Amino acid sequence: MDELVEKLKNEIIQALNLEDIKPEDIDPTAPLFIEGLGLDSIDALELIVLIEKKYGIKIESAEDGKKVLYSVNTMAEFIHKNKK
Amino acid sequence: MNSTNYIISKQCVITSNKLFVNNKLIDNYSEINFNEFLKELYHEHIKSYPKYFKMDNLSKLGIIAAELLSDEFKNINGKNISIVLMNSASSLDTDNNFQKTIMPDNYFPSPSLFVYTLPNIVVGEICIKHKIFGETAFFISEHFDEKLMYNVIANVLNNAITELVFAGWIDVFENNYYVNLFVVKKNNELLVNQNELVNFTTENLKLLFNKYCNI
Amino acid sequence: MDDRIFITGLGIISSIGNSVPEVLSSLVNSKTGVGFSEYLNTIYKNEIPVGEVKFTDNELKQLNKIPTVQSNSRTALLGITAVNEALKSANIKNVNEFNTALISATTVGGMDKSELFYRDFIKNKTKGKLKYINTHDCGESTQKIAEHINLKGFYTTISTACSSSANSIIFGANLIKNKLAERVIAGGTDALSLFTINGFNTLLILSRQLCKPFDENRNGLNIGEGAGFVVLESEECVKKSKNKILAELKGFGNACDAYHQTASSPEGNGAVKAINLALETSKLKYSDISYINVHGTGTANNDLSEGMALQTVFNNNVPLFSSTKSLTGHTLGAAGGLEAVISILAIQNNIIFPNINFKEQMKELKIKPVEKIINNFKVSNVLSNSFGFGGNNSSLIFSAV
Repeated sequence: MDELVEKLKNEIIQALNLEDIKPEDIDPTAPLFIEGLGLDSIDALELIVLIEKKYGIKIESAEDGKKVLYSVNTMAEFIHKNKK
Repeated sequence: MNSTNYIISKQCVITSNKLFVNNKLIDNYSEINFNEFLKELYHEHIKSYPKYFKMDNLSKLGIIAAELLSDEFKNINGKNISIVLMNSASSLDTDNNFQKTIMPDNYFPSPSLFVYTLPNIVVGEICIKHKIFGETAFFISEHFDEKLMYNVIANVLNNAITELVFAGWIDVFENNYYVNLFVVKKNNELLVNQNELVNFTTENLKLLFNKYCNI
Repeated sequence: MDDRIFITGLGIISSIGNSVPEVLSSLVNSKTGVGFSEYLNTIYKNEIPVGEVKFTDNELKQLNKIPTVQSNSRTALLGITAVNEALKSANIKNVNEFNTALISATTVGGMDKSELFYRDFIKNKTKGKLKYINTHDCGESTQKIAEHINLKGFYTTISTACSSSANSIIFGANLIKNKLAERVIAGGTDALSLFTINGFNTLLILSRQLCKPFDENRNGLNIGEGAGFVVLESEECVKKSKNKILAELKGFGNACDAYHQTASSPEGNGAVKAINLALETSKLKYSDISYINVHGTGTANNDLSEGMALQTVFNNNVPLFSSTKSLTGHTLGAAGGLEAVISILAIQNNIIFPNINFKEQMKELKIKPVEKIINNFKVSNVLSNSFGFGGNNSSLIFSAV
């Protein structure tokens, strides 16, 4: 699981063009949106694409997306549970 | 049309990895590539606006130029500022990149790219950063049309609300780009630096545009 | 600069009709043009409803007597069709008789063809039909229209997302007010494309059902295609041309929301400014507005933002309003032009068009749209809203004369 969290952090930084942010800077329990990294709605959509692209899991609605994308940990848990 | 009291108070040109403000060469990064150049410009002139890195190249260029010209409008109420931009490629650079994400054998449409597949998003980005709420427009033209530019800017300044217009040409496709943006405003201040101010006329717009074309 | 601007011609093609009379008939019968695509070959063919014009490209060419071999984007063909109708309706036999300009608008341009080229080209650089890419540029469709009607005057292209063709009309009016043109054909055109369907889909704002503007359970927009153009004439020009005046462009306003690249501010600040500017320039009172043709895309964000803006501007007296995108789909860059034509039809026929698919009022708003058509309603002044990505917000006011 830790490995997945680290991998995810790197993938997030790359996918969202988070210049100047290193994986150590991201607290996996912290909220990704509003506070924490302060990501916005387009970032959320891009993360949904990331999950489908790298892990083959499709998120159909913005509502489902909100829960999964709360933090890096919730993303990792979701991927771990649903990975094909 | 009453335009004798309008002046082009500042100009920013970005071309061939060089950045000029009012004839003065501010940056010259001939050794690096375009994307690295855009990064350097950020670290030098913007510094703390991480949203920059999510933008496409058209918006990045617009944000840099706006920053270099922002002294001109920082004390003016945002609702009294208008933006008029023009180019020939529209958002082709990003359209191309987005197209790559909807290939049948590599189908992962990118929302963050799609957001920039409209030429006027650069206007939106400048407005968001500098809190500008006035009239905005984006024209597509094969070449810089100084007559059209003149007429639109003069018309917008002639209404009582707009005090300043941020305007010009901003075009990019892959590594080819030319940015020539300027500020036109009502001339009711004491002119300090006479040499750097130019009367707002169609001929001067053409001259200022062509001056840097072959660099 | 107190010249009045009159509308003397209308032209339209959309999913609900290929001409003004057809569109009016569909509006009056609440007949939607949205459904699964018949012509566009998308992987979402049986999943995502769109507002498609019921003609193939070749049929559009035949309609306009264009040789089938000529390269044309679908955007240009739609534009030519609508402009031809506008000229006919304004009785224009010689487009160069007065100082006439053409202001068109588009976001798709020739992308509907370029994307076909690209798929072959990217795999093998010797493949791909070149004729698909020489119509790519946004300006190309405008040029094709100008050439088709033999226009010698000025023409240009505006591209500001979903407010594009409303801005064409504003720019056209400004040309006339500044005596740079006596007559302007203004509007816009956009065709369906894989590019826009996939793009909007990735933003999760495309509904899998018929869109429900201003409904509590709305879940996105339906993309449409089409073209809408009006002929604007100065007072002096109308005296010379003796054309029948269909309506007056009484006021207009454009403002920037400056909130997000694609979302509107929750309070609809940009919309409030644009609407107020339009009212100011029209010199009308708030209570003079008979009907609002709202932007009303059916997305969670737009309808809430626009609803808030209407409540702010009009306080407790929001005029009757409806979104005709529930019938035509959201025609992107062409929306402003199409809806200008529809607003003028409301004035000419004294009808308030319905906002179909509406069932439940939005909890956050005190207002709801007109659900069923209202006939015999004196429509004196119509406010038409077009709000685009990039925070570009435009409002037009058309008045009966």
